[in-house]
Amino acid sequence: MDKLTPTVVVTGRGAVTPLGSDFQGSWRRLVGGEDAQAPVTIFDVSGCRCKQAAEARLPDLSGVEWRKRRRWSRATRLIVPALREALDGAGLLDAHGRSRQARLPLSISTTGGAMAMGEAFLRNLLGPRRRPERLFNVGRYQAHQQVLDLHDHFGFRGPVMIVANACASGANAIGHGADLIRAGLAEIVVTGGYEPLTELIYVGFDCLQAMSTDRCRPFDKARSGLMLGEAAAFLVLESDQHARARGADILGTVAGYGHGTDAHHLTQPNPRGAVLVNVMRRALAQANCAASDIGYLNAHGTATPLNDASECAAFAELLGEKLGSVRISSTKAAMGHSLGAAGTIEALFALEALRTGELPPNLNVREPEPAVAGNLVAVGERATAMRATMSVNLGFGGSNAALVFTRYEA
Amino acid sequence: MKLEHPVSICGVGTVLPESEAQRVAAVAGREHKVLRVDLTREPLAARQNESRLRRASPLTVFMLEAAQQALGAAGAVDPSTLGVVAALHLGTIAWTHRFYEGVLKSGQRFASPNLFPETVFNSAASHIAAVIGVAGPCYTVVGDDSAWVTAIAVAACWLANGSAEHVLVIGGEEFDSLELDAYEQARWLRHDGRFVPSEGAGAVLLRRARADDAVRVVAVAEGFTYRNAAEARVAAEELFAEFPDVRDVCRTAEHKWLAPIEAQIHHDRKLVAPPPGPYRGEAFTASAAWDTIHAAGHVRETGQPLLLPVWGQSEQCSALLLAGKPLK
Repeated sequence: MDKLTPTVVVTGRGAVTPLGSDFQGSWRRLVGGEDAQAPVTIFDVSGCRCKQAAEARLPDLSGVEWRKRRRWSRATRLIVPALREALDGAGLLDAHGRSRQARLPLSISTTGGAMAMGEAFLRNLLGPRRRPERLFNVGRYQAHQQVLDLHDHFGFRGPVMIVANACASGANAIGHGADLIRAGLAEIVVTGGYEPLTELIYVGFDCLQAMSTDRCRPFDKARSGLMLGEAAAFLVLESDQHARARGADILGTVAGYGHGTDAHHLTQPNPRGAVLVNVMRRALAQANCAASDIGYLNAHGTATPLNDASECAAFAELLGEKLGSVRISSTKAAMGHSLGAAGTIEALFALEALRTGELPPNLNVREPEPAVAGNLVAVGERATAMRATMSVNLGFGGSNAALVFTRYEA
Repeated sequence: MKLEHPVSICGVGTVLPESEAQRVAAVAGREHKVLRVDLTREPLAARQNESRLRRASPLTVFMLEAAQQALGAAGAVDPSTLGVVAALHLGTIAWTHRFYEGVLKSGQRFASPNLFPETVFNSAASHIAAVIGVAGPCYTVVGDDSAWVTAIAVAACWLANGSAEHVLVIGGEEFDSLELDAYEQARWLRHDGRFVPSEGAGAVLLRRARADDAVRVVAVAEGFTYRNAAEARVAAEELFAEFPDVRDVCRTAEHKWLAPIEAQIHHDRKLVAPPPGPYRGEAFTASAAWDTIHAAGHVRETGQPLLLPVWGQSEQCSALLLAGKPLK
């Protein structure tokens, strides 16, 4: 990175997850070893193999005008509190909860938007007693409608990039925000990801037999599949110059981003994880870090047989004999897989591990995959003097992405 | 926003609907005019024989064909330095409709594991990357018609930071009868046949501009959002105020609910008419791609800067500024 390239720093973060209605609450329960697996209650799953997921408890929105709130999808009800926390933490909200900046670029990710509204539309059309008065809601299912809800609620506008790269989307959204700042195209970018649980997506994963009917056990030899979850998470990214000029607290640095495409198969990763290795190397090169600088790695770790095996191969290839020094966990056993939000929330965990030294555990492992048996984080583990942490994500369609976080040094 | 590193269009491709409209019934029963792509015609029929595309949606076939045309027009392009940005409004709506209707009619237990992966937004871009051999960056960006402009901005960023040497930007939409029910709700189909849903794809191959390029994208304007006509007018005024010195503007909102605003707002500029020939309907990001290709042709002929507004049907108005050769 040359001297003219801005350093990208994080100045705000917020999250609504199955473990809590804000970031700190979620983090405390995560590092404490809790999980959010429970029976699905928000739609009927009686015809599915699986019946469990990690649902989020929606935060109280009673302060929001009822006429506005009643139009909001579950997606908007997740993202508004998460963004409020991030903007507030970054010092970007005024006393009325409105953005101090009239124009604020957004780089955001999702895979389904407010798909439940689309589902309701089709159910209504095909149902025995059509209710036309409810059909107008279909216009609100698309992802850009949730962005317009944010614009309306927080009083800002600006360029928006909504990336839908399946499960790597959240990391792509952060990476693109950082790209914009590094290229001098923006001084500040709000990045985030969100995903509400919906029947269509749940049934889709169920019919693929990609979900576990037991527990989600990332990197366990007997792993049998993922657990779906839902979440929303945001980070405020800025150039360090911009952040320092306005006196913002700096939480860390988005030091590196790598992304690429694994064309092996639509739903299966390359068994050797070759593209993931390249993607991680690119992120490390941009961060000016060696692989051995990574103290903690938040893996994608869906607990599907193919994904975890591919990641194990990639980690072994990247780290070689240094593999033993890296602590690794997948947080999906605790939180579920929140698809378009996963990359964002897991990036926040990697950043918080760097800041605090606390490490999020890899739950439910009975017999670990031999390749990473010595690496998996146990409940209560801490690390000292980490130079960098990494978060990686792999998605349907072959999207691979890696982010590297380092401490900020002025 | 002026691009510090302008980009040039070095290849284009289109998949257009047939010029004669079909009557298609909405799920709820009412019939409307629709412009469809004929998938039985070559080269689209042959594209469906690609092994990777055996379960893919029509959208994927349209987008792959447009992408291959753009690559073919540009000559030799190294896939290892190629990026792909797909811009979508509705995505694989037909397959999503089929999948969920199957769930509702047959039960969750009988949901199709073959269909579900193809309903994911980035399935089309993934297939295209696999067929072309792209291992580099590949994004699918979503929004209304204006997602096309966002995709161009993403590509410009990758070309500027060296993530790719060429970027394929592909806009595509497929039609499904379910859309008609939604458009009826939005009242887009009430205006005496002005809005006709359609489908297809358009692609441009971009690279960093060189001094001898005849057409360059020199600025991108995004983020002028709205939810109703009053907000759209304000947004459009703000957008066009960013380009006070550009005289020529493409007329692109003629068949949308935004047409009256477009007609009022450009009283002091020269409006460039849409391409001659039959109306190709509204295919959102694909239409934006077709408009961009038309605008590039106009700039190549006249050498004059041309502003191409992309009037989104439900989110925002964005714009691309195209210019001819820079003065020596």
